[in-house]
Amino acid sequence: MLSRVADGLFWISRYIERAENLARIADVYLLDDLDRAHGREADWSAILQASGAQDDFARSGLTPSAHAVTDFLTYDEKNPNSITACLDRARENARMIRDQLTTEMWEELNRAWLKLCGSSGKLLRRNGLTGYFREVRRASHLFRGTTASTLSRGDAADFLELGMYLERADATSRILEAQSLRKDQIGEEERWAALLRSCSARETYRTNHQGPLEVGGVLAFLIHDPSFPRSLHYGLVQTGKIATRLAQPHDQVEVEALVLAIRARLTRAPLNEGAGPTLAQFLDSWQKELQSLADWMRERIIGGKLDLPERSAWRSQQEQQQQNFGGPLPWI
Amino acid sequence: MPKKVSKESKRTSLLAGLTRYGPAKAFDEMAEGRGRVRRVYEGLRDSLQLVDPVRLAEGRASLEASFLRRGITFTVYNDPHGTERIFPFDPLPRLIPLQEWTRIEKGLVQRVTALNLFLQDVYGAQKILQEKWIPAEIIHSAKHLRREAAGLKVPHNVYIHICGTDLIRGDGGEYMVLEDNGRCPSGVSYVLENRRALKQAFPEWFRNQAVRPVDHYGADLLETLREISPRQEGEPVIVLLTPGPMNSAYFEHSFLARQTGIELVQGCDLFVEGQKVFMRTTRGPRQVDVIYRRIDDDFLDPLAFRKDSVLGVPGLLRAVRAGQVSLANAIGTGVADDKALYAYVPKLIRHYLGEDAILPNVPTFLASQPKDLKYILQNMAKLVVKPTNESGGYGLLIGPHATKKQIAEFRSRVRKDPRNYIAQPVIALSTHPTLFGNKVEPRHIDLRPFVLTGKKTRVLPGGLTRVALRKGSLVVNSSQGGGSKDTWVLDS
Repeated sequence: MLSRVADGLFWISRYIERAENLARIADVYLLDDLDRAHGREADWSAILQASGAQDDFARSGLTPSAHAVTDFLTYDEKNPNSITACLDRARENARMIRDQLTTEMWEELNRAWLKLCGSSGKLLRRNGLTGYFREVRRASHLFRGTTASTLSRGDAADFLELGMYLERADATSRILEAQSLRKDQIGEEERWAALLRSCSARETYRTNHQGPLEVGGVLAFLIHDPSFPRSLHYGLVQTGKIATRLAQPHDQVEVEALVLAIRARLTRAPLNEGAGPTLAQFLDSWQKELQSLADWMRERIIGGKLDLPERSAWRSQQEQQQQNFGGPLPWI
Repeated sequence: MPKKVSKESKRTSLLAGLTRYGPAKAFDEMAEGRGRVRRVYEGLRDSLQLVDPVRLAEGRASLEASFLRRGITFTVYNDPHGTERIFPFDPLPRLIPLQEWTRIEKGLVQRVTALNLFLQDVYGAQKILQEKWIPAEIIHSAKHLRREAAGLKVPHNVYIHICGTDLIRGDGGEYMVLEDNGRCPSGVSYVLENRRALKQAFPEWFRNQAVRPVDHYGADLLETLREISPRQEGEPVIVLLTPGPMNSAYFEHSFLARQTGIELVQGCDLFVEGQKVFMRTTRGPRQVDVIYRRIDDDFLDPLAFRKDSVLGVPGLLRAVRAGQVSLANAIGTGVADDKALYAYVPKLIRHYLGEDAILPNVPTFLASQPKDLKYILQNMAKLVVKPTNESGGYGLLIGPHATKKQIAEFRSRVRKDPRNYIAQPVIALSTHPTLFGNKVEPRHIDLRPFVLTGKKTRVLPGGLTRVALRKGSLVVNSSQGGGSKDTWVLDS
């Protein structure tokens, strides 16, 4: 497979997953805000920080409020990592490697883009962001399902899954971060319920854990559960398996070792407040480790040098290419 | 379900204008006279008589939605948002009886064959430059002549592997060649997608009609590209080189890659080592044998042509010269679709093939010829004046529609650079019934068939019919109110 195609597949998947997780984080906050008594504002800086948007938000000059923050995370043009920006990029990548996707996959993604971005997205958001977020999650699930049922299980499918699991391992840690950073007066039970909900984990958690929600149990579940598809452990193990499959034979040992090292550190994640590094510190270093794993994979699995031309020259030269489509017919 | 239409019901139709549809001022494809339909259109006319307006509206809506959903769009230039639009599609198909088509097909093959022999001569023995049966100056001064390609051997001596020849019909319905497109002709994806969409939206129109299929184009294109592979053993590796997703025809590039199963690549995916071309893959470099390139000669190789090209592959010309990779189309074919040379194509046919041209040219005056120049300058208000090295209708003057000032300006341009201009009389393009709401009206059309040449020559039945949707408009291109139609070649 072309390295550029592998890269494209990887990023389509990451951006779709990213959009989905942004929708999850924002939605839970938005719903919490509805439950809140008047005068008690949620701590919006936590969600901005966790989604990595605090700098862009600060630059935008907006005052944090439920609306300002969710709008910013969802579609603000000043936010290069908004949900719509992620969907734009997912589709742009898909268009770039359109020939490698099944028609059904492309149509699903294109339909989501047509519906969620541009003027129809605006229309949809008028009825409230919660409905919009549901559509974002659904778009992501439909794309995954369509992929599973139409695309051959080969390298292409692997690169898509690689992007999804890596992004998810990162995103779940950011959701954890957002909840643990919250400084608003939210009850403990409420806080952990919100955390589970943003990961679609409440029901699964409940089937195995009765009794009151407590921090240790919830964190252990989202970090260590070996079978829940959004846990850190699961995301990392899947990433490792797929990366090993995709790696050249002489790189397989190395990728396994890299993943094992991160897994070893995962076992030391703090589940309770106490001595040693805080949860926030742990999550921060987890995100850095995933980043360096991603860099390694880009270099060794996707394929090293991939320099797309400088954008403005590239665009203008693309536009200069004559495709001889014929012009005006100068006849009466 | 066979439909018996009684004479009574034939008189009225739910489509306004269909019953009394007739030619306006030009030759009409469907009607010989008011209410008199040519034989080839009778079947379609009967289907249209029965069309239910609700069903029609639904069908049209589903057509548009399917084009948008499938991303069958072109990119609008000079738009910071990179807007994509669909190319409007008129559901009423254009019909060509097989007999007529057979003649067109022969004419196209004859023309492409002669153009390939001409290119072989220009870039090979160069007899044409010595024998001077056409002015050598025409060739020397052609903007798209590529001296770098002189002496280059190409497989089977074929230069133009994919050709799109634009045809129009004049007053009496005679087919004429308007333009040859021997560089990167585009539009074939619409031929295939239009057919698919129309079949889905109005399957009943196809019943009892023997329409020649078009969906083998992908297989034919692949076969053509395989035939020019320099590889002696094993499966050739073929790629389609696109400028990228911001090019207006990007949809077509990805479409053709899917149809043929070849890899869609950009310049940055390829590199030359020694004399071979490779693509960067996740399993290391892989040698490439054939490149169907959709970028201009000038951008192919920054070491040989434009240095600032970010679309090409450094060293590509070296690999081509070494015979390690084949390009479709070959380098330098633009000298054959130069509009000044166009005037000499019937002569090329006579010289290289010893035959008369089956498809005539539109009468053409060359400003580079003193006698013609005088005529052009005196009669500009009646003529269409075109620059010779542009395609797509850029920079031309339509005399009868031009202001005095524009004509004066063109006079001085032509005087200053006569080599760069030709002129042709204004011709009444044929019209075709076209749907507006529930109303049928005549609109001007042309036809672009596609000819593939490798070891063998293959012609796609029909081609792309473009239509000027605006009333009285002469413009059929995509950004200016043009649309397209499905084109049926009918075995009657």
